[in-house]
Amino acid sequence: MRVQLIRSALLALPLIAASLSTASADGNVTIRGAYYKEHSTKVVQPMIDAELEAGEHGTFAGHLLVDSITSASAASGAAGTAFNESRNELGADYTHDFGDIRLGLGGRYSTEPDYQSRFVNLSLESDFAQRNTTIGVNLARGFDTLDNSGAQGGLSSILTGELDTTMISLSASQILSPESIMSVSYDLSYLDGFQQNIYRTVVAGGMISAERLPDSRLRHALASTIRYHLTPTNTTFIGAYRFYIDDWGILGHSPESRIIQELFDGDVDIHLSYRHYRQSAADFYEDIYDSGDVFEEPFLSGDDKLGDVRNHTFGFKTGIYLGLFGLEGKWADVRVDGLVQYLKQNTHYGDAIISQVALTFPVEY
Amino acid sequence: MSRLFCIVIVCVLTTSCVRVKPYQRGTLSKRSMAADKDASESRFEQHSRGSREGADGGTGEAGGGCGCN
Repeated sequence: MRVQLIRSALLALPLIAASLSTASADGNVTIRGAYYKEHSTKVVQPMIDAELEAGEHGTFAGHLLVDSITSASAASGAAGTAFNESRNELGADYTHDFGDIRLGLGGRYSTEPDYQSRFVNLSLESDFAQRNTTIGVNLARGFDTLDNSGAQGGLSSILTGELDTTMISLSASQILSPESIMSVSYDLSYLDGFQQNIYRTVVAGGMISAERLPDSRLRHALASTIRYHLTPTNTTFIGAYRFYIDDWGILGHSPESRIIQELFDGDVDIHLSYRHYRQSAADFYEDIYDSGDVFEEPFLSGDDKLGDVRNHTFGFKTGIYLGLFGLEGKWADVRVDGLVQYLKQNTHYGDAIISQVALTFPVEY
Repeated sequence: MSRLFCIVIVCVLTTSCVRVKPYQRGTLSKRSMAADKDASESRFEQHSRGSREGADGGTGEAGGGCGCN
């Protein structure tokens, strides 16, 4: 699949190059490579995204990605040995613009050897007060199935399960001034079904047990972002905050700040970012379980991310338009992005390095 | 912190009655003011955070969809 994706990307390049010299409808195509490295886990994710005009009032967005993971962690899919696994994902959305109202319909399919996921979503967005205010609602349903019968490592017990997800998201954005805008969103999601990791084990009462988690989870997330542009220096300040709570007892806060400095008449932008994340542990999470008895301790988890998590992310990103180098016409609008982040975590995963490189082409067809 | 967040929201919403005309929105149409992250960048970010943090959501997009929990 990865070979197919790379081949598709290579085939797309001449088409993109040709489209840069022809005309009619607009859009853009982004080819991105992402890399995530921890002490014992490495993820490489090549992806292609396209956003294209579809008719006079429609927009189509689609993506294709391959998620390739190499890990020595049993909880990631192997029984105590290092393993490699790939996940393939395909997504598509169509949005129709009715003027002050936009209606969208989308879907996503993801498959890996032991897990399949299907998502559909319907969105509605409307503008008010001369488009100073925008309010939106997004409904999504997910249907996941898992089956470890084809897993690497020769597991003795075969597990299968299903997980259904229902999400409703409400959003609002408000222009505050010619230089500032604010957005708020609230996501409510309900997960119903098998939520444990089928490979993760827990030491309970001196014995090794399989992870046991509740069959349902109700999650609330409230997030807000404020952007302000300082015109004399071409600097944008972004502040964001997310509050999270769920019925497993996890309560999370994540403030984030970003500064974007434009240079060379906007041909270059430099981003500096910092994000802090912290959460309390789930009610049933313990470092050590005393008995593992299903009545005394109905839920068992060895998942670090259900414990007390704190992390810090420091980021640097730059975007450069090729117009900076004297290229003209549509080539001047081709954009190259590079991103590096350092993630400092208090969990046993250890610190991580994240990097991404992307190339975005405007297309006309 | 959540209390501070609520206070900020209320203050902003109660002072946000200024109507900005279309011709005044040149700055707001800048990339940094609209969406400084591509869809693909945000998707990877959400995916990697979803496998390392217990909280999820707040992006308007459904997370999960893989066995990486």
